[in-house]
Amino acid sequence: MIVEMKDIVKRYKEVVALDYLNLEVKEGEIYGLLGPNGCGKTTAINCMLSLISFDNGGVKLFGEKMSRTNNRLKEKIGLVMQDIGVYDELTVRENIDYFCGLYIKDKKTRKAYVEEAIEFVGMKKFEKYKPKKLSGGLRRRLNLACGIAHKPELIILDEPTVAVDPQSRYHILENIKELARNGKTVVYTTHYMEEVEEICDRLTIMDKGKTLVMGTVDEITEMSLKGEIVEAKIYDISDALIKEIGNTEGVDSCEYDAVNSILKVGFNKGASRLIELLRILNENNISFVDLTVKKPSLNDVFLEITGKELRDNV
Amino acid sequence: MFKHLFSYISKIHVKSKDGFLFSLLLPFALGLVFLFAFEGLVIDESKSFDPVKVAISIQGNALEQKEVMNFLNEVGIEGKLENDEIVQVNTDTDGKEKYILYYFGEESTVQKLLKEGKIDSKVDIDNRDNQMDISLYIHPLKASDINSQVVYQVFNSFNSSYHTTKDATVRLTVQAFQGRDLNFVEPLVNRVRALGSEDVYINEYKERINPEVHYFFVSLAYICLYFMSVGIQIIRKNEGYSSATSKRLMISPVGMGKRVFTSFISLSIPALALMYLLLFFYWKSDIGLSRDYGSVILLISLGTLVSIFLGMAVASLFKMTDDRADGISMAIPIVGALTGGLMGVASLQLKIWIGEKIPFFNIINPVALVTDGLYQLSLYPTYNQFYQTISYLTVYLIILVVLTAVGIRRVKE
Repeated sequence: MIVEMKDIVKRYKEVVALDYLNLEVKEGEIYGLLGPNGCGKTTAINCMLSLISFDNGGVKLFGEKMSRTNNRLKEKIGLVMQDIGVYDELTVRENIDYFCGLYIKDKKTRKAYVEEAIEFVGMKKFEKYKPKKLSGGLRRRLNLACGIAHKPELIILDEPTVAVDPQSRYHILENIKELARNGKTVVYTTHYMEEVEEICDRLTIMDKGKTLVMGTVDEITEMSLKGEIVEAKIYDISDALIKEIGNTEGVDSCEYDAVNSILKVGFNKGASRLIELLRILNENNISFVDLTVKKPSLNDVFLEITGKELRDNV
Repeated sequence: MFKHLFSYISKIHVKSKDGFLFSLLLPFALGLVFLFAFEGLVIDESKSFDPVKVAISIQGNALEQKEVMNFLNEVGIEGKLENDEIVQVNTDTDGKEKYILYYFGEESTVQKLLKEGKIDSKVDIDNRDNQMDISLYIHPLKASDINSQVVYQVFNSFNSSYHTTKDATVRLTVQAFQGRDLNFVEPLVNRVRALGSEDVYINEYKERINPEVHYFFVSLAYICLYFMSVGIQIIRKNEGYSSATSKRLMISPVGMGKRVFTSFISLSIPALALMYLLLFFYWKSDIGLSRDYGSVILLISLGTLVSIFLGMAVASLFKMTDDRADGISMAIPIVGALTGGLMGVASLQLKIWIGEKIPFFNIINPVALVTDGLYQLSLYPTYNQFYQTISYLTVYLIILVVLTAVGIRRVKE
């Protein structure tokens, strides 16, 4: 086990930031910590790295107790923070070289590592730029490069794609997948469920410092009480027909959004009646476009457990 | 590792707006402003120092008298009596600073001169019993004056050199001039005996201080304390809670002590270099700063280091936001300068009041310590009080280093 966090409790006076959090991350996997803002993801990372003390529990990394002074363990860890931790006074190359130099003493090796990191995040042509001249996405990529240039075995990424354009986000996610393919262990925190679904082997969903569920994406979505949801764009449909569909066996709900002309039919779990729905529409000469079938998402699971969305704006 | 850290920390510091503008350019500019402000206003006090008039009566053998005269010729000028006034026999001082204008006379004449207030002090030297007794009489009205201290220091120095070279003892006693208000004798004697203590120093300030000289010294001391902000920066750039970059440093395998030490070296060298450059300009401008280069550099270096470590100790012991750090960086030097007497006569009075009521505050105020040190170097005939100030600063520095070492070991979250 690369990361073992057991019964971690962290309190800030009256506020319980982490409430008996448990985490186990295996070698070579991408492990996601998913939860809304303020749920305790960053606090969990800070406890994991002994950046802050905690009131109960213990942390082991690579089977060894983690502490503030355990430099041997620190050498194996790379951190990519939510806030961009680079110096505006240094160029891209200098930034990477500076942080890499804290781990790698040999000049030649360091130079090669820095070169690799620059190539890895695709910033070769920006290497002489100062961070202030870079776009938000490129700064995020530089942040990533600074955290991984020394080739750590465990990489912790704390919301590395916040406020990033789609192209850079894609780039960063591809980088992370590449790191995992190279045998690195990754702990990835985010509040974007799509990212977790895309890259994580296993995950924990957190809220208010507590673990809500953990497992693979499939295992967690299986926990949802809801079934599939079918959405179709229909320009003309009667109230009677909407009612008829709603009363069909296996259908949980049927709503029509007249403004956007969207019919939304939710089925009970395990009762996929898509053929039945298509038959009813066909019999009533209802034409439709853009029909989509959606499985329950991590957000649905979160919503069912907590009664709120993972993201406020979802 | 040191080289790697040192080169990058220096580069970041010099290239950053905070580092270059606020840590280097601003104090340097302030120093130059003070220089221009005081240039022409302040003259070298030691050059215009009027030798203290002392009348001496000696009873004993000729050899011992010669010893005394030889010594007095080193630190003083011989005088003669003209119309009941002591005047210089020879105006040539051999380029040396002269502290006293001495006149050898009959005991009765000397007594008369003191009674009439024509001299500051009367000195009786008696070596008839194989024991040199020096009795120093000070006119009560001059008791609070620096002149009485100068005379005491001169004869105290004689005492020391005589003891060293002759392996003999000199009995130096201080007495108030008898025949006036007797109630004044005891406090006067205590005061003079306590030379080197804060009390005497404060009284000297009251009576003799030249505000321009004081403002000039305190302004230089204020620039030293300005570097407290550098100390705060050193810690904050390495404390994980303060920024994302410092958090990244925090999880690196380079220990906090090593990082703080390297940052201290990288940032304190420019600060010290800047102070030395300012001193160079001050000396070049012939402003009233002591020409004892080594001592001034020692004092300013200690003052700057104390200020840097004061910032480091505060920042390492207390968690602070950027705004609070900025506030502390500005507030403490200003309070230090205010209580050190930088801001006008009221501020000077405040320093005197603090010296009388809460003298400890002056010992923990680097501005007051450095100011006192500069004053002592420029205006005092011996190094006794200066060494005391240096020892205060050294102890203060050691305490701050220990506090910083304790502080950086604490986890702040």
